[in-house]
Amino acid sequence: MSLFFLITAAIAIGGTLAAMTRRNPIHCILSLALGLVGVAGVYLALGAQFVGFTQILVYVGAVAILATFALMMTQGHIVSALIEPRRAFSRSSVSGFVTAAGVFSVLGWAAQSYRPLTPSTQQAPAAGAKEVGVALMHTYVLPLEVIGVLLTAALIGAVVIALPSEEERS
Amino acid sequence: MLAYTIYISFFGALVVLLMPKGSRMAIRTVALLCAIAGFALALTAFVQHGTGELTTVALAPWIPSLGIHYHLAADGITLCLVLLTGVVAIAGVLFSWNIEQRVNEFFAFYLLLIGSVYGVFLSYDLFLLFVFYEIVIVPKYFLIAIWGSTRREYGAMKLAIYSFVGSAMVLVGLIAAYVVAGSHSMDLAALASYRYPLHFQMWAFPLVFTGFAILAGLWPFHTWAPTGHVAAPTAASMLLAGVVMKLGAYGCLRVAMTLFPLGLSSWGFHVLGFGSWRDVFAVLAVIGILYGALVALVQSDFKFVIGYSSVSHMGFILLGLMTLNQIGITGAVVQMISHGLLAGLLFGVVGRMLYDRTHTRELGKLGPMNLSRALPFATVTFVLAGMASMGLPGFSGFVAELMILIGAWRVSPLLAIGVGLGIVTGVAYVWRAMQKAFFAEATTIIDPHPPAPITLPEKLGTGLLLASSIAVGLYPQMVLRLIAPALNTPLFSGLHGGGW
Amino acid sequence: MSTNLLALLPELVLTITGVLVMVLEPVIPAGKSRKPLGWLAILGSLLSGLAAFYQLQIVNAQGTLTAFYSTIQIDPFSIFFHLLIAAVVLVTLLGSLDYFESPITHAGEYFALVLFGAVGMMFMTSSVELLMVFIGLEISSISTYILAGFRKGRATASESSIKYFLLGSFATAFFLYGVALIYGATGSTSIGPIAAGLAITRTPTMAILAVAMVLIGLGFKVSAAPFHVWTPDVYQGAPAPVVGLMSTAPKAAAFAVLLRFLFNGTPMLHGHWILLIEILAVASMCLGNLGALKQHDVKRLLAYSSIAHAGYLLVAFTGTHQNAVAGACFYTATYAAMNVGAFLVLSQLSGFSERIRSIEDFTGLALKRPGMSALLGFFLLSLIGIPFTGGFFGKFYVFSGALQNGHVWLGIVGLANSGVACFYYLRLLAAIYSRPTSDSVAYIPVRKVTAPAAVALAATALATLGLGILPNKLVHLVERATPTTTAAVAVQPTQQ
Repeated sequence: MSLFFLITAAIAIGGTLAAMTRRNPIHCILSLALGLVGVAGVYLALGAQFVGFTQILVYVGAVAILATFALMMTQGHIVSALIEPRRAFSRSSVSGFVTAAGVFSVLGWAAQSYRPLTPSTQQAPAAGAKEVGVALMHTYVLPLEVIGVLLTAALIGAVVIALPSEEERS
Repeated sequence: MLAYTIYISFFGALVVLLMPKGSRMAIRTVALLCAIAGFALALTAFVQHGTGELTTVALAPWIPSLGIHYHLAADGITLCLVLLTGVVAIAGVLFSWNIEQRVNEFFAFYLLLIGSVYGVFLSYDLFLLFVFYEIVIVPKYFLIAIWGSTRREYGAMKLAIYSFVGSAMVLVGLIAAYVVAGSHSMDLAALASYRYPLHFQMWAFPLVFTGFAILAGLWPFHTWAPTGHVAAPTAASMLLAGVVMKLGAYGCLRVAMTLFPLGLSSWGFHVLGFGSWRDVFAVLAVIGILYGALVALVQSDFKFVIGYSSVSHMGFILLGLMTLNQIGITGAVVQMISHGLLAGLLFGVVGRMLYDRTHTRELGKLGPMNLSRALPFATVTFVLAGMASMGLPGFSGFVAELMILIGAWRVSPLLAIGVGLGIVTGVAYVWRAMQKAFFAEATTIIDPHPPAPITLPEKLGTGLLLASSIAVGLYPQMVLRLIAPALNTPLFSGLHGGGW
Repeated sequence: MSTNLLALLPELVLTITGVLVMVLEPVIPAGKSRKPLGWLAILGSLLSGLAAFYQLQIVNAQGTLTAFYSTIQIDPFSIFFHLLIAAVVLVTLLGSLDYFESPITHAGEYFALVLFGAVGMMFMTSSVELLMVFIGLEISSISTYILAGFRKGRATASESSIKYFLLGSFATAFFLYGVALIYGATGSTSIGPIAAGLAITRTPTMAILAVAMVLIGLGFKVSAAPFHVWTPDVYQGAPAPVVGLMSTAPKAAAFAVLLRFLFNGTPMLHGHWILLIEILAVASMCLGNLGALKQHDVKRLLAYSSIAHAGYLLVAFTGTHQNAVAGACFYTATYAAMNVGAFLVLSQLSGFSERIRSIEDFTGLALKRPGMSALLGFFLLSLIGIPFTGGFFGKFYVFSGALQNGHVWLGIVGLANSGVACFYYLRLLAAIYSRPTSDSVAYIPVRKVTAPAAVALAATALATLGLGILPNKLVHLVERATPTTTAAVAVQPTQQ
């Protein structure tokens, strides 16, 4: 386990933790962006440069900034005022922590005991831009296309949520 | 032809439902005609059928890939019970002549119930039998919940839940039997001829038997019966006690005991003195007889007296089945007929003749009304019906109880003593109820509003039921000639063991 | 027509219709009724059903079709679910054509979302590549999240939508985790190669974990206990026709994925996942029925009932491969017919505003609306499992499959549960048919049942009745529907 991996993993976990615990929504988004940078670092450490840089470009560059803008343009300050202060040891948070601990310890154990399918293919398959592109235009061409439907549905949904209906306007 | 009993009833239900709401008289007439048509068909078959052997009435594939057929057939036992249904159905219509509220719905549910009861008795495919058996629950529920009296929603719901749980148990057993036999056929004869492994029968028998016996009022699962009877409108409690409870007993005999005869054999060890499921159910039946009779002895509500007496009489049937000898089982079938007629009559007297006129069923309030003077017809009817249900010679109850008593004696004198005690208590509660309701010291001055006289439909219904009971009592050979050959068909061969 | 296009035909039809609806939406001036768009959507779903039927003819003649590098597999199994989803969508659209009281409630978007959601569900059932399944799942989920919150401005609606969204995303994350783990264990995300990879994997524990994760994810989607907590709140807040849709079609799709994944992808782990399925089934039946006992809101009551029915459906999974698929398919179809029907009646009775909600509000309904009451009563009887309704035969079929495989105690638990369940259905039924109280009937506004809604109601009632009286046809179809694993291994991308 390299030092680089440890640092990036720490950034990822720390960032997402902060995103959950901060009360100011702007701080949350910025922490989330930091966490996403950490994840990108993990990708890079695994040798998946293309995925890593895409992660930075799309999530950190676009999604996080967009979220910030959206928040600034809507009434973000009202939201932060509405959120009740959280108690650290409420029943829900304790049960949440227990569940999370259970799930992640099982996952960690699985990852620890993991052995690759065949010992010869120790080398992970290359995940460069070319390989990703070929896969997307070949085996995964249908998923790629169908994601278009997904985005359309999501856009319509955004419109429905954002536009006030007549009775709300009046 | 016999299959038309089902079709006519269902068709009648539809016709009645579609008739205009106002035409009450026409609706009643149509319902009566349907009931009479069913009775006539049943009677024709009853008279023509010589031997009591199994004859197929209708057979058509239904879901061939699962081996399910639309198979109706009749043997002697079926014929007797179908005829009973026909008689009680007519009497029920006559006794509900005064229903004014939502008449077409009432008679639609009524005819639906009758049709499904015919269906259960005639089905020889177990899937079909179960279909009709479950359909019975729905109209029964509505008849009580809509037209009932005291705590009707509670009574109806309790009855429905007991019925559904019972039929769920039956369904598990039936599916298991179907699957173990190789999933080829749901035909009763085919499954009954399959030799199920002993350990399978040992759990399947009590499951299916209890499932059916819940509807037959087996102690300690009888509690739905008194509350249901009390809550039900007169015609519904007549049907409920008269034929629906018989469905449970019929299922015990026709399905549980024929499919899993080995389930009645000895366990090979003893627990608390019980050596087999047969011992367990026989003792439960005797407890039911005594418990029902004793509770009936202390009731103050007249309908509860009759309700608990039903539990007691149904105990006789279950005990008769558990004797596992020909005379005992024959007695059980005769008791089904006898109790069907008499319970119908008793509920008719209490629910229709008395309650609809006096608006009370409290024995203590009925007494001062001097009913033996005001309603002599009701009094005479109740005295006759009461004597019949005590088991006086000349009535059907005597034949049945005597046969069951002999059958029980052959198994164990102890059981017979229990039965004897039950009969004695039966005399006591009928006597007490009769005395308190009809022949109490008249304390009040003459009622300014004398009860309305007994109507013609009531008299007709009473006559029909009483005549049937006396006919069976005086000439039992009429039904015995059909029951005995039916019990000797291969279907029941699994029961033809040592004591037969 | 090329195989690839043929394999996508129903989905293509629906997508094109959905896009057309969205393109035509702005053409209709503001304030005008969006009904023509609804008719267009209805036409689309009808055509899509016909397309699936056409596929069935092709498959009957030529055998299973695979397309897009073995991403899509068209066999009787997927065609069955395509037909079912198309039918549910068609009936829902017919029933909700006149549902919107004012024309400005985003009716156009409603029709489009229903169509796009159906595309996602269809992809879930025909895909043998878990990535594709995931995308289908996301499409169907996102559409239903939005549809659940369509009665905007009401607190329950917002709660419904948000709750569904948060928990649903959580569930899809679990599903995705499972897919990742199965890739780790077997080196593939495609059903056939997964089965092959399991034979040689050196980390079976990871595969078991993967199956468990997938089960959790899909368990949320089908509202199986203990992942059911969202169901009552969401159903209560969502518009009635949408609940009819989302309690049947996406569930059917999720069950299809489960059937394919468990029986074709991981048959080697049968001994492990069967235990999980049994736990889920028993928990769903018991918690669903017990939860329903104390409900007063009819939609919440039906929500708990749908949890219980998910349990009955899971019982089907304990049968042998063929029995399980046949039983589950049959039950999904009957459940769809009766549940969509019940919610259609609710939506016709109370309309967009949903003024009648609690059981007390239904007291004496039969006197005012005898036809509607009879229909609702019929659907409730079918949900109980009374003979001559689809519900009865479905239960019989499912439980005989389970018993055949030796799961006697599961059969006993299940049927005892259906005995308990009659209590709450009968309570509603008794209210409908009892004498009206002073205020209950008085404020039930009579809404006229329009022709399309009448057609939809008739269709669901006839389907429920037909499945009960003559189940033979469907039994034949579902017994053939057992999905097969094609030998073709996913083609690896080549460098050339």
